[in-house]
Amino acid sequence: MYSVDLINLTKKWGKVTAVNDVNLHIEEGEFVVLLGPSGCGKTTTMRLVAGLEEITAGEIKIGDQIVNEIDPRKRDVSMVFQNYSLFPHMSVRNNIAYPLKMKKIPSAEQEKKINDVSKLVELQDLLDRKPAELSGGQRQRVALARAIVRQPRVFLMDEPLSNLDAILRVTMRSELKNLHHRLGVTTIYVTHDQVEAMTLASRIAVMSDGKLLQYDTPQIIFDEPSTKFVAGFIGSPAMNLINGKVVNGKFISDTINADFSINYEGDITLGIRPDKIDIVDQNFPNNGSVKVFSNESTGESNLITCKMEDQSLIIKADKNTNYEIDNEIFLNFKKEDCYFFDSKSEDRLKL
Amino acid sequence: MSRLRREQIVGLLMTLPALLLLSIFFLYPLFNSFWMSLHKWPLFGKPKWVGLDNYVWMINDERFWQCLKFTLVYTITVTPMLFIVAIGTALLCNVKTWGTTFFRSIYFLPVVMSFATASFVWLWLYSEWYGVIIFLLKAIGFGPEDGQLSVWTDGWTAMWAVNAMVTWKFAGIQMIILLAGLQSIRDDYYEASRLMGASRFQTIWNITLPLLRPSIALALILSIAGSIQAYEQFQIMTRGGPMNETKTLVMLTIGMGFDYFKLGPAAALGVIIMSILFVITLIQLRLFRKAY
Amino acid sequence: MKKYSGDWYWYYVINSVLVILILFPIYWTFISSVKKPDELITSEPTFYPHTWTWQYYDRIWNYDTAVLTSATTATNNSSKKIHKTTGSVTQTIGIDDAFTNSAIVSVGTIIFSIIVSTFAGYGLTFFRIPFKEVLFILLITPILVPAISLIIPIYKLLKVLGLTDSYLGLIFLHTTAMLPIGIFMMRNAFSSIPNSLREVALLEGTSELKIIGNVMLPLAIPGLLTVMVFAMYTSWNDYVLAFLFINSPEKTMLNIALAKIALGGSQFEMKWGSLTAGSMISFIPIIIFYTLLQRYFVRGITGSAVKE
Repeated sequence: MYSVDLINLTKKWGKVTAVNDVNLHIEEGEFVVLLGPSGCGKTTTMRLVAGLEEITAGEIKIGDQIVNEIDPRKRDVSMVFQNYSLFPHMSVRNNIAYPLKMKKIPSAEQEKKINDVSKLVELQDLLDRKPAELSGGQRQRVALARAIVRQPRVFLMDEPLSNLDAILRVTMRSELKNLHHRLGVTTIYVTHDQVEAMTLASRIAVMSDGKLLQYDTPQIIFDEPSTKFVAGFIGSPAMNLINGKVVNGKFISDTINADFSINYEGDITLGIRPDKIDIVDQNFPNNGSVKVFSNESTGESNLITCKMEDQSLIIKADKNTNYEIDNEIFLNFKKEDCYFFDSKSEDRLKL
Repeated sequence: MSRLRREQIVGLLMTLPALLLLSIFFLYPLFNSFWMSLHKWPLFGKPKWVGLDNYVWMINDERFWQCLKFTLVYTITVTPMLFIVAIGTALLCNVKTWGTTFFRSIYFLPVVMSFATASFVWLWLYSEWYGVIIFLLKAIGFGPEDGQLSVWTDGWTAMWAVNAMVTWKFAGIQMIILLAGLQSIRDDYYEASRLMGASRFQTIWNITLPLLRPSIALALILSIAGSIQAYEQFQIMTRGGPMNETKTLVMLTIGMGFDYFKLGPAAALGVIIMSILFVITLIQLRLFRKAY
Repeated sequence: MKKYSGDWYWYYVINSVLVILILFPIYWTFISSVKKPDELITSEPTFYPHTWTWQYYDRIWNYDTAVLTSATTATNNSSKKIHKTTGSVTQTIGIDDAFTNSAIVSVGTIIFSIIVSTFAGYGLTFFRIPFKEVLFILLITPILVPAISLIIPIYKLLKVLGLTDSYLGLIFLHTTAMLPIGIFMMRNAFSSIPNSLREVALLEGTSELKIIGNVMLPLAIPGLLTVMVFAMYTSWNDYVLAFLFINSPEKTMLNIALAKIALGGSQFEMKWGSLTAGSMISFIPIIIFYTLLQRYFVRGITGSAVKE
């Protein structure tokens, strides 16, 4: 098992910086997820590790070896591509055998490895089919098998589940988790889906605009987001972020106020998760009132969307409630459920 | 009248001009050629049914075999030349960098000029006394210092001289076909192959060439079909000489029909050429059937 | 990383050499067409023209056909338009006329091809015609049958129709030869336009013809240009059909006229100077087409290659 280190990793395309001074240490056997929206640099970072792109500055280490100058062929890293990249003219068996063939492994040994791997991903019956004859889920498993069979130092996965339908995605998530447990290979996984990240990762690296924003376990990222972006990205429905001011220790915005004795002065962003807002009767102490813009029932709860001047708020209400559109409702929340972020730097403020 | 009916009629009307042209100038002559090949067509008087006599006569005529042999030899020699140049330039042009489009358009340029014009150009290059190629050959040491050096006096050299011209002219089309095939191979196949430890050569052998098969097949089919129908290049450059050594099947057909007015045998020859082409194309399609 | 700069160097070297090799014959033809006879006819050719003359162009371009055909041994005839021909009768028509002839046929072919292919392609795409697929295959078959096999019956046919030795006859033949490519291209062009566009227009009450004109054609312009390019290529460069089916001297096509000069037994400087000049003249229109519309040439070939 090998660790992976990204040290001051930078990649520029002409004037555009795709990866900006990223530092990451991945322990042996960890499953790290690079999470972020499209264009944040996560795929580029992974491709730098693979060697498919050249580094502008910085270092990449696998184990103790600096691999910057090493050709992808020799890095002993395997990758599952987003569209699987299965060779269309080869059968499943030959696809899986390809990495072994390239390393000139004797065919008896190849046979054994192929059989072991196909049992692991349940492909034994499909070995002689061609990729065109397989379903999306089956192709994905072939891509996995092909990546696993050679027992590389690091696995790279580029949004492998994004081309699958919703139900299959959930199934495959648990398969991947189990597989990782069995094989224990250090894995770097790229996705924009925060649910995937939360469920699969031992640690998540949240990226935006080429920069690494936060690198922690899923729980910490959820409970203690370090920037406004991270807070707003994790969690579904997303955390509410209300822009306002602190005056004399009180938080004031268009409609929502909070008398929390906040030790701060000036512009600030208040964050609160939808399930932490209570809807109360107008006679109870409350933090303001809003008009209901829409209400959506998910079966498990009711999501109430409210619009203020130019911001909106989502409240997760009990499924048995019924708040009609255009009604006025009153909200209440506690200070310990709130997160505060600096308006300019977007960093978390502990207040 | 129902909507479907109206749609069908309008649709048919739209295809009518094409169908008319097709029927009059293609289908009718096609069937007619079979018909004609089974008759004798004297200059004066009515055509006479002779069954397969024309074919028999043709097959027994030595000229037929000579032309057939030459046409095949020509095809066998020019095809690999074309292919090698085409695939070389295709691989060169598959690089995504400045200048590639320019190079590609230059390599395709000779395709655009007419076959006849290309023949004239090379005729001048090969001119016994004054041609540049002759000059250069003499400079290297071929041929007499002060005399003429002709590539046309020997059937074999004449053929190769023409081969050079044909390669120059047609490699461009093959290149485009092969290039299209090359570019349809997704980049991530190459990346995946590289990550899995394949060397450049291994990637070309295991990934590129197999996936290129349909394009190679198409290029070869077109090339061979064109070679079997060779006419202009030899008509203009060698006129079949020396001594009919470089006469092609098509030249024979045209001569038979328009110089000797033996319409029956000429039509029979036309049918024979058609059949040869058909069989060869079928064989090639069979061979290349399994692309994936 | 500097690793691949070595590769890059080879790339440009090889390509440059190839470019020189490929362009050389054309360059050579051009300079040959402007060299004075002394410099042209020599066993020590020069690689760039030391002298310059337009006499070959002049000689072949302005040729009074009528006077020539009636005076076969005109050596000293000094009517205004005849230049000293040194007795050659291999050229029977001024290249300017031959050029015009070829141009007429080419333009005719372009127009006919576009009309026929567009209508057929449109019909085959958007209408539920009975036996649609069969018809389509049928219209593609000409590409498999060599024209050679059909020349004899075609000749008889043209005779019956009174179209021998006529522009129209050639135009029809060239257009028929263009059918497979033209219809293939136009059908592709139209089928890549979503049917919903046409349906919306129909719902809004537009007539079919208006739809074709205002919606479809503009979207199918790349296809049209490709058809135009190939029609030009097929027609302008045709040799066999023009040779066999046009007999009168004043209607001779450009390629044939040049061939007559090439195959004739005239004196050397006449022949080669005229020939190279004629070749350049023949080459110019198509090269203009190519420079402007290059990508449509490529598109046409790639299109058929990919759909295979």
